[in-house]
Amino acid sequence: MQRLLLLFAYFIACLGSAVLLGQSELPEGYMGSEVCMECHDESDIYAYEQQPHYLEIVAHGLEEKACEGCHGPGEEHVLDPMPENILGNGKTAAISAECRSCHAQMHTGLGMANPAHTRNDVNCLDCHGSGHKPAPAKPMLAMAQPDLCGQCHTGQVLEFNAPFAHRSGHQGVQCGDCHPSHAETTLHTLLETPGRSACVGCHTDKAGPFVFPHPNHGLDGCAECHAPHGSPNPFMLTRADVNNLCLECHIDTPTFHDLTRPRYQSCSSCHAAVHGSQRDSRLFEE
Amino acid sequence: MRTLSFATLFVFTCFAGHVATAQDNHIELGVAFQDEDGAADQFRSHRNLDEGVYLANLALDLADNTAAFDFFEIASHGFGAEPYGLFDLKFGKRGVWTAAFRFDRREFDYAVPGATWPAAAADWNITKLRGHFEYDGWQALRLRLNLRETSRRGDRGQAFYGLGLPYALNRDMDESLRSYGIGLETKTLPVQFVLEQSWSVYERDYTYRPHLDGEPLFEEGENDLVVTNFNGGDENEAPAMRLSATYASNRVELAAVGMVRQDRLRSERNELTLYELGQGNIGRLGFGHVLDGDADRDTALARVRLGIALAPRFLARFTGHYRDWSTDTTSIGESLLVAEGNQTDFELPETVDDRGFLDREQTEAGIELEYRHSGLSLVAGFASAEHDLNYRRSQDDAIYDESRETETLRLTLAWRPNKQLRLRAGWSEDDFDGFLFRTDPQAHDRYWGDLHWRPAEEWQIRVRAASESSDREAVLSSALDTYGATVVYGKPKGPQIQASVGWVDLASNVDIRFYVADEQAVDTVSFYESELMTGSARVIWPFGERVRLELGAQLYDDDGASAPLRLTSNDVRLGFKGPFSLDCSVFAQRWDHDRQYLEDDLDYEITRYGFVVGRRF
Repeated sequence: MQRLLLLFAYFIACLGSAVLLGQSELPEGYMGSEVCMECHDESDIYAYEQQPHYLEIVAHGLEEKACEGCHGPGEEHVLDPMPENILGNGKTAAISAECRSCHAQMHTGLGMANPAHTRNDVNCLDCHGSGHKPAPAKPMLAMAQPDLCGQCHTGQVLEFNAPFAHRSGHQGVQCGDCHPSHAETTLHTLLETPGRSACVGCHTDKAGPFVFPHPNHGLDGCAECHAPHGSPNPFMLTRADVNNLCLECHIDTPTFHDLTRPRYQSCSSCHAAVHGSQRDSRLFEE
Repeated sequence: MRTLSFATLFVFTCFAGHVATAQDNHIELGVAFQDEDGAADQFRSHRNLDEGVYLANLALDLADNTAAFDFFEIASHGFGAEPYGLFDLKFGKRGVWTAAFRFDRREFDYAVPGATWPAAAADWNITKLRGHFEYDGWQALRLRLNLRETSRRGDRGQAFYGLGLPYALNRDMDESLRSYGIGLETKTLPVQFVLEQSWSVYERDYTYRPHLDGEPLFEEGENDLVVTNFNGGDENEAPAMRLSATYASNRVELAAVGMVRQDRLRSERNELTLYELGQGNIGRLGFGHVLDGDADRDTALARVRLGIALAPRFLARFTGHYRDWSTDTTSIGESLLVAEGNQTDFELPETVDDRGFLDREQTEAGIELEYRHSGLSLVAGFASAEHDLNYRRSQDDAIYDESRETETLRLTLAWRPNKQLRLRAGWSEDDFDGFLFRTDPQAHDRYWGDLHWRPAEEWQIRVRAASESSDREAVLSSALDTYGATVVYGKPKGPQIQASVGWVDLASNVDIRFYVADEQAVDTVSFYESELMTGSARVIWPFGERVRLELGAQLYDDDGASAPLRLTSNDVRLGFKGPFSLDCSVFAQRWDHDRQYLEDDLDYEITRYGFVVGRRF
């Protein structure tokens, strides 16, 4: 009898533990999404549930945290339903910290130790939408590029309107194609100098390594000669004529280079491998 | 190829209407007219723009209704009245495979307006084809295939001196590069490896023909050039292997790449040039070469970068470069002196057997330390390099053997007290020991500064300055100062204005020495000076959602003593978004080119104007 009582007590203890553990899945202060839905307008909830962000949360089995995963613990808000008691509009910095609870570093590397956007207090919601309504652009951006980036980087976006530019916007180059906005580390950011890594991901034939590189350990990489966002000059060069660009460094041209003749006013027509050559130190051929 | 491109464009435009499920495509055609005043040939030498129809823009984003691929993108512009044309094609299945092709062509047309020597003209084109295939469907590896073909074809004039007089030749160029490569990239290992193997073949064929019926240039002479055989070519095969390894974590970044390459060059040269002496009444005298040449070069190249976060605010970076290439050359055959007279013919051969070599080795190592705290960044760096060069042109020549060592110090300071202001400044100094070429500098210094300020949300101001100098006592001195400012006003969706101005002051003196007859040396100075001022402005002004005005102006004014010139270019474009997804714009561009060191008849004023119509679908 004593053994039966002990077994029964053990069974009750296990059952009770299971119940208690099941109830304590959420961290302290978190109430669960169903609690949020008791008050908040169904249309808002419905709109949110149609968006990819919610669907991903559900796919990862985190449906209970669908609301508080971004808005923070809701216990205080449930007790006193005031906006000040929950993370909402105007608290983008705090909400951004919640984003990182799921979206940990996507790519590691020294750049992630202190990326430029973080150093300048740019938060997740400064660029990304909240996920409550359809995003104008992927991935859940508050605005399409380059208009999004142009809110701060106005000058760079303006350069895309020059006569010779990377075609921006539709079917063109987006800001994120060259500039990893979270300072992700890629193969090219590791292999190339900063002035080249943004370019050679697409311009792979300029990636090297070259037996005869040009410019040789240039200070700014591609930007030594090109205006990367746009230029009034063909091939997005920083100067109107090629020879004027080249002569700023190469002042010691051979004497037979008669600069009064048009052929010698376009250096790259003969020195065609101007980005580097595997076989010719004079850069005549690639 | 141009016809094929337009045909492809037409087919895909029709195809787009059939299969496109994404309504986000665009095609624009432009028509340009041109008013030319002055040396239009000079303008074509610089830009080679002409009147006519051209493809302003083609952007197709097709979604296939089958399971074969889920993106199909076409982008193209140029061709027609523009000297540069580009065609891009990308398609594939995201996450599984992608294919990309690019074709571009650039045409050059050089003339010498007003010259009495038309043989100085040149006319050629450079055509490039790139292909890339990537398979990403495996878990552990990614496969890449590349092909590349570049060709240059055309002709150009060339001076040729014989029997004390200049003659003109026309050279037909036919040069090509074909390159194929395969690469494998690991995806799941902690260290990412990329192994690539490529094969390249370079081919060049050339033929010379006498110009002006073989008559000497500039003056009448009694000896006309008769080129009976003047051609040659070479072929270079080059296999190469490249291995790169990268690793990144929160504390460490490592990137290393190595490459080995073999170039095997075989060349042939067949020349026999004859001159008709006394317009053929005396006989013929000529010189010839029949040569076979080899050049075998082995190249080894390595580069490594290592970054370590020593502490939360303290980073260290190490870099290393190594390059070694050695070339063995041979030239075997004979040179001929040929005389053909009315009574006697003879040839005087001389055997040619030259064997030489060219070896170069470069090594460089550097260290950089960075400290960051509260918007402040300080970087200090040191690098040391050595460059060895030794060569001999033939076994009868002395060996040239020199080394050059470099030490570089570098310091950079950046400060960002708030989101609106950023200041950067830097200094670097290079010291050299030893000289490979007589004009190598002995020291080089550089200072630079940069300020970026956002006084208000719509405003950005940037000011920059740099100064550098190179010198070598009694041989070389040069100084370059640059400074400028840029102001930007505007926000997206609203008016935007950008204006910038800059100055470049460059002066260099290089002592040079000519050797004239009897090896008499003449010392002189090669002097180059540029006092350049550049200015540019651009305005974007939208009027509602459908009308947009763009204005641009650029000034390039060099008052230096060497090649003073003044260039201005202006452009205006007015665009409309019309009904039925139609877009149209009118544009005008103007170039004023005044090379003040040349005669006025080499200047030009060109106005190009026209319209562009397009449709979104």
